[in-house]
Amino acid sequence: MEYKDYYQIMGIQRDATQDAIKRTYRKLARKYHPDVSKEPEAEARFKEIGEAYEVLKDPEKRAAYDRLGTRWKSGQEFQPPPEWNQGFEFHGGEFAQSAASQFSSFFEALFGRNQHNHQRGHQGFNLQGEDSHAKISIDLEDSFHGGVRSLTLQHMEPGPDGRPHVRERTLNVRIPKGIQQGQHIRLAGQGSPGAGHGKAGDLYLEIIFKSHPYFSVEGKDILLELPVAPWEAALGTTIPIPTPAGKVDLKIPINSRPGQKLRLKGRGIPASSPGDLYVVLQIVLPPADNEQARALYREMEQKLAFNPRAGFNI
Amino acid sequence: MHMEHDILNGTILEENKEISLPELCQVCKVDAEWVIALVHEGILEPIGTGPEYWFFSRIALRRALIVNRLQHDLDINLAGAALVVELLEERDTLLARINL
Repeated sequence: MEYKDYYQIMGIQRDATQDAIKRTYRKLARKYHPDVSKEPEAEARFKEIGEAYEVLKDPEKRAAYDRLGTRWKSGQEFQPPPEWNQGFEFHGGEFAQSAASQFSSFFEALFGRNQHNHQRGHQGFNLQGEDSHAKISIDLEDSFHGGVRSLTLQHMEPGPDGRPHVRERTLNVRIPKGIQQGQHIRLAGQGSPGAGHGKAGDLYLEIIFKSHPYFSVEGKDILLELPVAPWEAALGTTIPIPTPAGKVDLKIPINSRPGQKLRLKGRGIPASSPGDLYVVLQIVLPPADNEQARALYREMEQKLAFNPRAGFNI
Repeated sequence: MHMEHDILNGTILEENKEISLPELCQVCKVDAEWVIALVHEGILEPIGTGPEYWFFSRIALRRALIVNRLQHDLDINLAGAALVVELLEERDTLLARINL
């Protein structure tokens, strides 16, 4: 198991006051909260910070942790010294429900597992396992065609030596056609194992769409910003455009304006009442980067009575 | 592990039918009073005349889960967490638009 430097994780000095630790935790928790944060690896950071705080906020645990000394480096292979925590009494052995199941094996080797869980095991209750929640990122196209995506989850379980170990498991999950961002898939029996003869909990997967190079999604509707040439918008034409279900031909009406929205009914996310695809026209100017192009612009300047600032009255 | 090559079929929670109050409580691991407080806060808008007839829309489960996590993890009260959820949704919509 790897040593964890809780002070380094929180970015504080070893002699930080309890107040400073709390302040730092609050700041970091807001920054890395997985529901709020756009930082990469926010979820892993948030768990790490939560674990560090669980130890450092409690003067008893902190003192015990400090007794390991300063010779350890983060990530170094670690075994707790025998009887290392003798003479320390820990109070309030129950950790916050959501966090306790996610602490590292380093934490659990030092401070044990949630006592509550231990008692359950010993008293032989048949308790249903806890439900777990995870997110799964899929491509927008998966929602159109359905498909199978694999997902790797980490969880703790007791190893042959009785110590908790991190175990990875990979699930292959069928993505139902028409699923939308923010919906949940329930996988019965894939949560935490139950105690005794209790059933395993369920696993809930929240669907997240990966960002797409040109489509964006709002509920069941899809938006495509479509670049067109000035003459295509002015004269009207028919051009091939991409949709998540494949290429279609789109008619651009005569005298289209930039920002104009064209609706393709039923071309959004499939459902009994499917979403729509909105195409937003974006007019792109050809650069005047050669003599011929400049001549054409000059000709328009001379022959078109066009004042784009007519509304300004100046 | 023999399990690892099996393909798991799940159920979409919010598909077709809406979610009832007991279902919402079960998934979020909360009691009905907590959900009722969220309804009073205006963050969940169920259809139906009273709690036993309530049905919640697709967005409700996600909102309830986020409010629950924010309350526990960041020690925010219900009104604050509700405000955060609304601002997050607004931010995500705007980000999706500029991401085009």
